[in-house]
Amino acid sequence: MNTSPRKLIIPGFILLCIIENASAYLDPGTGSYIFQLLIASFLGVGFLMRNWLGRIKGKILSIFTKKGK
Amino acid sequence: MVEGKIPSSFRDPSGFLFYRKGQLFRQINKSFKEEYDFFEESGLKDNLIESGLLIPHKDMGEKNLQTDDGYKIIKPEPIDFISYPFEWCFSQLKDAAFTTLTIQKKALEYDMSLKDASAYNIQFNHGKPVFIDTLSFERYQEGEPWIAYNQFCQHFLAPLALMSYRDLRLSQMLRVFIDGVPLEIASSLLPARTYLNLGVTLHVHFHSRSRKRYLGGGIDSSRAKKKFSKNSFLGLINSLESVIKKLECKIDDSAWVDYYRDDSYSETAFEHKKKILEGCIKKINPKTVWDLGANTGVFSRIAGKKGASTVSFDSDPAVVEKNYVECKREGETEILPLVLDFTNPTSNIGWSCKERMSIIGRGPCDLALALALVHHLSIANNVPFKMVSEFLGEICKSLIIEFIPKEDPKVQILLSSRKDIFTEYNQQSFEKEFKKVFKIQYAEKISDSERTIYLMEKKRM
Repeated sequence: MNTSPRKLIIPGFILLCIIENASAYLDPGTGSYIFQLLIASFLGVGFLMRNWLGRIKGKILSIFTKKGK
Repeated sequence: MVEGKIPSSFRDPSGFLFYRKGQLFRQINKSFKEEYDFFEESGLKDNLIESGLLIPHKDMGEKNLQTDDGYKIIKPEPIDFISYPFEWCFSQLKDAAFTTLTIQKKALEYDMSLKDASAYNIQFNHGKPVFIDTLSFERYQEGEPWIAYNQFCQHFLAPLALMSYRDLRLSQMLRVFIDGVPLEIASSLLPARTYLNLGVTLHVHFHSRSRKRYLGGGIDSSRAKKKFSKNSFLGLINSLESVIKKLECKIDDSAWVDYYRDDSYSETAFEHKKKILEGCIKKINPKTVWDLGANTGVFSRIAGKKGASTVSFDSDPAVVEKNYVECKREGETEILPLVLDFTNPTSNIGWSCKERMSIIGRGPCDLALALALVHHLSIANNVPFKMVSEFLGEICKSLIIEFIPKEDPKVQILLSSRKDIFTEYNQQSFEKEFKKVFKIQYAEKISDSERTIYLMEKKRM
């Protein structure tokens, strides 16, 4: 595959910045890093939904528990 | 035991492990001072130790620093036996994965995060998985994704999915791929029906495609500006937890699972064998026992009940799974079931052939049990008695070994489909070869059988 070196300068710089920010000695791999960013919203919504459902379930259960008493 | 820095402790510049006067210590380097102090002061360290998730350690201060860039020395509690992920059964790897995720969740509560998620950071100590790398914690950077996400998927999720959907023996891939099963390989080996599992699709199939796509390439600026919120981080951990929870271990056709229920022994013979064993173990009073070819660990339990730290090895992952589940259910903390094939035991592997220790390097144990094993080695695998005795002499100080003659139904099964070329397979040759390495202290024939149990002590060479 022929890739012009000029085309790699900007993305390469961004990548370097990101890897530096990530710090640590373990290379997360660009693909894994980007993949997490791609699915971030999906995961965030999933987390909030799970918490929300948990709270509703808790409230319903507490109503029945009170009634039971 | 080698003095000085241990060969597996070189990847992380934050510190290293070393032996001094036969005791294990960890040096924390100055470069990691701030992170380590935060780990201590935040309360996370105490929380993890109190919860039994992190190996406890003693602060030794600056005494005996090994290098000029050292900050502090800590002395971790010793682990009875170091085991590796490819020696674990399905549920052990699963429990190790949950431990890692639980620790990551707790770390986030304290504004910290795991900077690696290697399965080698987990050891089984008194029956439970425990995290051993005290230097794996760094301060959480708001907006950053999990740096150890890929490593977690390669070390835990991919092998577990392969074991669950394909074959339990695929855990052995971790022996070849020392940094976990590459996701593109896992993705290509997993059956198409795994696309119906949202978690596996996301974290293995799609994740591997993303890795392939961006391999050696860059990213655009719009993505570089995107942030990974804490909710997304927690969502990621929950999602990994949920997919691993749903993976099941299927045991169906292992020939060894019902070994004790078949005609190997009469009840009288079985009880007598147990009695002989109890007497021999009492005589030796070992601290460490290795049961070689332990099956589901019936005889390991005799040693375990006497308080010996017992490693229960078998080559069949299905029986090791059964053994581990039983240990958990009964709270048998002295027994560690592991997958190991003694015809091809763990050798020294990894960087410079020193990173992960061979089975010989992790010994010798005080006592080895080789019950109903020799005929498998000598007849099924053509290993001469001489070589069996020499190998056993390398891994133990004392040995309880069972000799099974050719007339025994189990040996007859082994010989039924092949020509009997084993002219030397008899009790006389067995004793002659073993006497070269061991001193026979005691021998007793098992009632209602032709088998004999020997108690031997290794000769001082």
